[in-house]
Amino acid sequence: MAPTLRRRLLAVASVAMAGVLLTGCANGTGPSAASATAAPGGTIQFATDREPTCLDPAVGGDQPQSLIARAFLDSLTHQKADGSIEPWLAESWDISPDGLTYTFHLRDDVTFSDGTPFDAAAVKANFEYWLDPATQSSVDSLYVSDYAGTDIPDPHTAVVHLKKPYSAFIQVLSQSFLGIQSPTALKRGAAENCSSPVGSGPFIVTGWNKQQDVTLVRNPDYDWAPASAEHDGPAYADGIRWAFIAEPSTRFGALQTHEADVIETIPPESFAVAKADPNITIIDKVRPGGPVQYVFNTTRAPFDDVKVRQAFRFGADIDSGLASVYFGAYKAVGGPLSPTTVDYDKAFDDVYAHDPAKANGLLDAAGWTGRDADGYRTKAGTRLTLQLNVADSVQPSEISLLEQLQAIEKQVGFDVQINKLDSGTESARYNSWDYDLDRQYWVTNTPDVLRYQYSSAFIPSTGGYHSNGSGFSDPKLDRLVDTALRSSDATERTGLYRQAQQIVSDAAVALPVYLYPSQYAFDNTRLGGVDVDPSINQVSFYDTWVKTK
Amino acid sequence: MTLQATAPAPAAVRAETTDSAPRPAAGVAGRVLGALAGALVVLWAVATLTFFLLRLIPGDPVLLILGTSGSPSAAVVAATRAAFGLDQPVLVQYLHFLAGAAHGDFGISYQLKVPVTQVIGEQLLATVQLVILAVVLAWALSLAITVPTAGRRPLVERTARTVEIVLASLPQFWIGIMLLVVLAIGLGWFPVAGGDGLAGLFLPALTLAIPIAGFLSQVMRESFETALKQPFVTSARARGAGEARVRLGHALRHALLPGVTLTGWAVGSLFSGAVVVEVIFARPGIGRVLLSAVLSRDIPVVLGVVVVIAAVYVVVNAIVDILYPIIDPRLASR
Repeated sequence: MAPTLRRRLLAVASVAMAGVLLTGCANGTGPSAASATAAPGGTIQFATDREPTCLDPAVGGDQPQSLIARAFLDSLTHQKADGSIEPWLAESWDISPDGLTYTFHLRDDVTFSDGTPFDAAAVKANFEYWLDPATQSSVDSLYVSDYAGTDIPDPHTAVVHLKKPYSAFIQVLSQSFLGIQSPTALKRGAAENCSSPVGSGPFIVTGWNKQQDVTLVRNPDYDWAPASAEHDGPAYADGIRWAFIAEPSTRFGALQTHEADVIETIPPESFAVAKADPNITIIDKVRPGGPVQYVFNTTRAPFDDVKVRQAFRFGADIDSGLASVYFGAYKAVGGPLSPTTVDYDKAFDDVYAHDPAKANGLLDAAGWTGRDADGYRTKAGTRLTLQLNVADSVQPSEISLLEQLQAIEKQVGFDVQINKLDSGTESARYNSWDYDLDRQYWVTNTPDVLRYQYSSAFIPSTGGYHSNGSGFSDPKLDRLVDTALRSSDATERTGLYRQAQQIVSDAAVALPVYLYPSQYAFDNTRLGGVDVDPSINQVSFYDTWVKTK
Repeated sequence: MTLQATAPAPAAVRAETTDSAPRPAAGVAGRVLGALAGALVVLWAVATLTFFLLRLIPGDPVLLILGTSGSPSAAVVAATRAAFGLDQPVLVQYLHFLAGAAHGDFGISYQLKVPVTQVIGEQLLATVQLVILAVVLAWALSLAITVPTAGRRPLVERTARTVEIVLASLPQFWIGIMLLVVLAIGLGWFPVAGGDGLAGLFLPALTLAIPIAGFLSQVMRESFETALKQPFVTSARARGAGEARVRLGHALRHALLPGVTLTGWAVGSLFSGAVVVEVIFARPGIGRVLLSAVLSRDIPVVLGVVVVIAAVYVVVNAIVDILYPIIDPRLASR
């Protein structure tokens, strides 16, 4: 009930805002005073939703950290918009035929903003930092878990040895999660490194007012942008005020009143308003990796039966749910990979289009033939009940989506129990496999995400957490994703990952609900050149200039 | 945590303060020492209860520290557990916490990696400012409603009572969004988010003040009306005092006591309960720190904030005790 009320209030708010916006357009001054071409100066006012707990992206590892890290950290490699990889801090690299040795030839003109020179020793120190248990890293430590060591034949050559071939290595290195930090700064300890991390990026972190904003200033010495950047040399903007505004309507209001020049995540109910405004430009991308989905626990009844899982997918009508809850702002997906991931295959997007007849047929075949007084299916006196756990961090709009799912699945006889839990309880139940459906997403720029989410190697809990949330175990899938990881042939990998997607799709081990959006809206009378870093499609302000100073 | 949920609290606070008032005169120093010892016991009890309650709720803090967006290895999990002393027996952790707390050290935040005292210190000023302005606005609103309308014709009286009930029952989320949309986004009179200084503080404080003003008016109206029927009011009128002088000079003083009691409770509850407003207006504050710390099982931060809030209650109650005899000298000579 609460979420419904809240949604209604937001609707009221956005109607009021629409009125405001129309007035704003009517007496708008137009861009005459603004400079049309890039010029230095001005501060970018950016408002995002979530505040990182630590600015160093290696600690833990969550999306808000990688977002802000792109402003102050450069990576060894850079991903271009077409998905290919180009040099950045590494000018070039050679890969040994056995795929175990990567020789990085490093730029010799790069300096961290604390004065420490960037060299092979810095690269070695970063690898060791990511893997040091004391760093408390969940993401970086996984992405480089096959690291064996680094030799330094000369100061600008880093020879990185791996324990096993790892075809995704060069790709993951382009993510800001694995941005290179000053080894001098890393030695200061977690407290300092979390609040004032030091890199070689176009901006420098100068302050963090908790629960308000992070301030960044331009790095005046910056002269090592990747080749595909729009310009060379230091960033155009003098700095960035990186504000945290959790409430979506407040954030959008800040854009409308020019308190913010650019915001992340447009409230779905304001999406149409923003789109209709000629002064607002929307960047509407999706993150690569696995979509936002509800994984099916295949280790217990009733989801241990593939027919029941397939029936659940045919019974769901996500498209209409997304249209009514998100007004079309979020995009549906059917397969296990986001379309912005290398080797994504669109063949799996429509396999489970809404089809109640098929769902009923499958449930009959699975033996769930009885119906109780409430209309739910039964088998041997047991009701077809599913426990769906959601943590408090999930937005009320998504709860509405789940309530629609609950209603439509009832039509084919599923009793979906939505359990709204605090994060601690949700995590405790997840870790003890006490759920039928739980929420998951995984953002990364490689199809290797299929291994983390579906390979049996990720079923055993590593100290509690299992990233294979469905408990799905298939030796053929394990072999495919492992072989793909060892293959240096891109065409061969595409074939292997296609088969892997096929297996995951056939087994119906999760219900994908939407592609994790990466949406930004900016006032085009105030800013130019706002774009995303293609590795995981998060905003990058290096090429951004401020028109009204 | 909301005003509505804890509405019965004023009675309890009142009972506590009146119980402690007629203590035998054991000298000022003795009374102060006694009060301090009592305060310490309260703080210790609150911290201890919170410490063990947090152990009872499910969820492994270590996995919440590491986040569920990656896949930490067993070594990382073990190192994290050891780094925060979570591998020790609970009793050892408790004693360690007590020893630290006695020196004003609440440890390192699991999530933010910085000392808890720093986490709280960075947020305290914003909360204090918000609470003070909210209380001032609530009193101003409430006096504006009560003083001119109490004991008037039934129509005026009934209208005022209805206004009070509506104000007291408006949800903060709704008030906040409405003020934001109309006054900040629509008319542009106030900053939408954050905003330094008084301009940024006004709307969030007003959002908090509106329901409190409703409660305040309700309790003060009762006393105000009783006072207006007292003989001293009749005699004041007989001496030729005007209506304004009767109300402000004579009756108001009697209406203040329940208002002060309620304010004492409101200040304490606002310290932790301003979360909704802090989120809507993107303001820093203790409330949001507490909420996210509870959700992420950031035990050191929860304990630190709870102790601070308990201390605020203790101090505010002491102030209320001091104010009573000043407002009503009869209480001093009792």
